[in-house]
Amino acid sequence: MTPDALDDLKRRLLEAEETIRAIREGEVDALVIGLHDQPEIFSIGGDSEAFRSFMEVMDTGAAAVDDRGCIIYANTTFASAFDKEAQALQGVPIADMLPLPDYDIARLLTPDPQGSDGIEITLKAPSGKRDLLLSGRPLRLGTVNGQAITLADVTERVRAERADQTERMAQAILASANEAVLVCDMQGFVTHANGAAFDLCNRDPVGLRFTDIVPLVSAPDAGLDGNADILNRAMSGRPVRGLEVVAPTARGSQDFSLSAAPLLMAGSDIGGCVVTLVDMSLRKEAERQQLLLMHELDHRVKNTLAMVLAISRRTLQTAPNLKGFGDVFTERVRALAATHNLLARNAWQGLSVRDITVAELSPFADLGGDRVDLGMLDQLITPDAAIALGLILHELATNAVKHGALSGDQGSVRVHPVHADDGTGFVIEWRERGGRRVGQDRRKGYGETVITQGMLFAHGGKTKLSYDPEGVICTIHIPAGHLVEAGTRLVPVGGIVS
Amino acid sequence: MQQKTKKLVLYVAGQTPKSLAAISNLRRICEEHMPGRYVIEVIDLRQNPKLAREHNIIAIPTLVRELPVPMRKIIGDLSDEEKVLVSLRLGEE
Repeated sequence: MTPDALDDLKRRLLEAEETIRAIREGEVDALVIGLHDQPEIFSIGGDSEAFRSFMEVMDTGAAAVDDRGCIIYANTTFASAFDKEAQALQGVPIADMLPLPDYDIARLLTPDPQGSDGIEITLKAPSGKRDLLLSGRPLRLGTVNGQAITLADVTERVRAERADQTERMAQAILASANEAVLVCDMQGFVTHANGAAFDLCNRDPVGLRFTDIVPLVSAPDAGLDGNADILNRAMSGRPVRGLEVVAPTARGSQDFSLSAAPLLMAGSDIGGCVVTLVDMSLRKEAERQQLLLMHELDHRVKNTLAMVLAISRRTLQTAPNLKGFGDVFTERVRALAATHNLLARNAWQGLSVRDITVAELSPFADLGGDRVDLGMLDQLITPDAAIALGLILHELATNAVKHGALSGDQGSVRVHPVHADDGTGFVIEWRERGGRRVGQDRRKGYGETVITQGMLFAHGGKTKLSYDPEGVICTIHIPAGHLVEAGTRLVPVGGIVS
Repeated sequence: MQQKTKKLVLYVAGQTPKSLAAISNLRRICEEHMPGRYVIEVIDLRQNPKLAREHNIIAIPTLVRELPVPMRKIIGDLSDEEKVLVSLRLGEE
């Protein structure tokens, strides 16, 4: 044998040994067998062609990866999810294709017989955003131990879930709104409404025409004539904001601030409109109350000025000199102010007869002692009656101090309610005892005029003054129209609200 | 010195896992170690088994380096990059 022939023999022997080793160690998965003129290919571990054909017709994306995580084969569905050709994915590490952390890649490639839990990913492919659910299971393909990766396109399901979630969120927002909210389609039918809208319409408005559920009237200068005009304007893309409307047939409040905006759908198309109605009744009531109070303030200021002028004029007629005028005028205005102060503290909601009596008598006598005896005087009276009673009691107290029961050390004053002659109203009696004797012969001054005429401002009001030898007796009749029941709230200018 | 272009013939059997792995591994190794200086011919013996005779192929996949001579062979899916480089001396010649 020549040396060359020997070398060739050695080379062939090495090749044969290498081939046997490769087969034994699973490095090949096919063999050429048969005669030289009729060779055939034999697949070790089974023919994977059928398996691959089956994979190819599956709707689900599927890929076989080897134990290094590289793709051996991917079907068309799998590849198209990544906008790739199937062949282009062969040999590509699966980790390079998926936007997942190493932890999730490891989970996907774990040879767990139960398979890995589904992992959701979102791909931003040129053909659009896709939501995919990936899972892996161990796979033996020929002589290869790898992993089968399946992929389900859940884009539509995720989209439906998100739409459902958005719808639920919108419903929750709608239900939580305090104002009435109505959503209408382009035909003007109500498609959504919240609880406040139910209350406003006194029925379920969904499915009804917006123009039929509750008529809305706006000011003539608003430029919108009723429900149809409001809808048309909003659906044409011009929102209506803060339009004051009245709903005459609404249950409960009828004053509303209306806003209507186009309902913008995908692509900025208008798909209807959203109408909100905010209850304005409290604001309207506050405005009305404010107007009344302004009128009442005007009324009271005028009355007070007139009263001060009258006091000034009559005091001037009876005053002996300028100093006397000054002293008496000041006291009378103070008496007027005392009652005003009491009324102001009570927000002009009336006063009790006791409060007024205490305010007028306290400057002159110790109310805790035995010289002043006050009865059950808790009756509430109107502000006008309170002012008149305050002036009357001031004059009675002044006279008692100067000339009557409180002028000496022994006399006393008793103020008690008594039964009315006509059975109506509230009558109090001022009765002095133990003072100096007084007579009707003394000059009738302004004080007596105030006492006898002070209550005449009210229909049915009267005062009777008599000079008993024991002391002055005065009965003051406050008519029923000027009595206030406890718990009632007075409205300005004489009205009473229960 | 300008290195010679290497001609590599890879024998595969259709799309068996080892065949597919060998194709992708070979392309990756060549691109990394001798870009622009290689020619790969992939022969699918499932399509024409008789072509196995030319290089006396028994196990698949098998890679044959035809040029430069002497011819060299390596059997398997070429996943061991070091072994491929050493056996075929792809990086040196």
